[in-house]
Amino acid sequence: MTDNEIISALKSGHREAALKELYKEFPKIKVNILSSGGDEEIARHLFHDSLILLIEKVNKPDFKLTAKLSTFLYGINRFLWKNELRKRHRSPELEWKDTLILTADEIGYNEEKEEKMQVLEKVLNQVTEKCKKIFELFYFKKESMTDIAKKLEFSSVNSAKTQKYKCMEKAIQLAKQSLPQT
Amino acid sequence: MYGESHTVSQTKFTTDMRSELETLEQIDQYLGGKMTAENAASFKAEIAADPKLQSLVKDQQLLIQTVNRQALMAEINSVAGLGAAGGAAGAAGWGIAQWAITALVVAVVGVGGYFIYDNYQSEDLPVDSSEEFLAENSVEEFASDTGDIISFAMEDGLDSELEEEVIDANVDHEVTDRSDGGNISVDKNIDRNDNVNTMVPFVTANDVNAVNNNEKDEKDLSQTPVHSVAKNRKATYPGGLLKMKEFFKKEMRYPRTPRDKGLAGTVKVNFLVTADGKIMELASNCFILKDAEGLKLSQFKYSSNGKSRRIFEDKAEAIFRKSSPWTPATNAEGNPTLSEQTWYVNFDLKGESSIYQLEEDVLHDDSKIMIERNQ
Repeated sequence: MTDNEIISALKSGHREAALKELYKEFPKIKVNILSSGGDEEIARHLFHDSLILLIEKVNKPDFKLTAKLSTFLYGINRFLWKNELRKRHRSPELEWKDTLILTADEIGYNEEKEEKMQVLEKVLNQVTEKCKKIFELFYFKKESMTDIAKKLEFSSVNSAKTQKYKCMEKAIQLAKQSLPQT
Repeated sequence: MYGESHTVSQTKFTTDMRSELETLEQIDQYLGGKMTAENAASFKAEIAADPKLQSLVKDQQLLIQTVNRQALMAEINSVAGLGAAGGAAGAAGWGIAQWAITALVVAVVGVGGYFIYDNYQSEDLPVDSSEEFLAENSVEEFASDTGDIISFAMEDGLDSELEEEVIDANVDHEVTDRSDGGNISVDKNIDRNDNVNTMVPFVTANDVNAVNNNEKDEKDLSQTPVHSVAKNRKATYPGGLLKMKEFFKKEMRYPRTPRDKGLAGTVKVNFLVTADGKIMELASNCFILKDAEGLKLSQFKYSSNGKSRRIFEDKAEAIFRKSSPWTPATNAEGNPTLSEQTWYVNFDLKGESSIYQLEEDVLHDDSKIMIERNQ
């Protein structure tokens, strides 16, 4: 797959082939992380995070690819690993080949936001399965409320909408409890 | 469509659930880019004017992003062959377990580094010879079993290294006194005791550096064994270490707040030198504060002087930031490459402030201990 094919796949709902292609970069990235004090688990964890940041980045309207996609992916991983090392108060030399040095802004990474989202992840595990399903179908799969009402056997579109509203209200309320500053 | 944005302006003033439901839908449309440009613009103005609506939009946006990430993570995990279930939950619980593992890894790396270093330094080590340990393949096992012994081994190593320097500088007494003091004030707890001991030689090495002239510094650094597979050239300030020291002297102004308080300190500065010589990702930690007599502040006083520490850190960072561009490091093929630098800035009240570098791995380990202790 070419970089442009991967990017348009990442923008569409059919990401599997593109993700498989990107996953081929994992062994090389892993070697870099292992050689500076990391292990397999953290390498995979960071790599998965980097894929998500890449997908989010690619889907931004102002996204323009200025380097090879794999180079960009390396850059994100290097950033995340560096960030992790900083949290551990370690700073070994990182001599990654063929990588970009990216700043948090360039990646769209914001520590405070990431922390909030970790809390929200827990919140999403606290709402009901049905709520989760509605969220996923509506926000991720971008299905219409009419389809969702049918799929989840709501009596009407309106009752599905009301349910979605209640779910959102509940989730935000839970989030407020765990995020005192907002 | 115009009517819709009108409804929104009404919802601001009512807590009626029906209109809140409409607000929610509008936020969805707005965030999903499904509003006409005109409506989006007027909604945007509305958000800007209404803090409550603003925080609602933010919350909802973040929640939607989290929903999407979870779903994406499930996709990624299934591509990775990990099964969808493992993903999100694993990610959440990962942090703490990782810390434990990390601590072990860090310990092992540090110990490994030390023994290589030690091999260079002295043949007549007072503890069981390090070669014996090196012969062992599973460093990990030994690290967890005999952690205490290792710590002491390190301490001895540092002391013996120190002695040479101390004799040169004729500050033998001062050193001994201080390290005794440290031992008395800290109780039997082996771990803590340890920290104090590893710290004292460090502080002193520091003082020694301040007492010595530049030439001596130069010599020491050039003699430092480079064990980190160094076929590549490291990044340097244009003209080398002496020029960097000159640059530092020129830029150094003792910050006023700590001067007024009679505080001195040492800051560890870490940064990257890019392949085109730019300085990036500056990070620093003022890990030692000293009083006018040069005695290290107590833990309590150290903690309560956060402002001075930050001022020292800012000053140290500013000087290195200004020293850009550098001559980049080169890799094995001789091409410029990204590299990392660690420096120490010693703020001295008597006008002998200096910068220096020390043998890296041993140092990494020490400063790590100190950072953790000081927090």
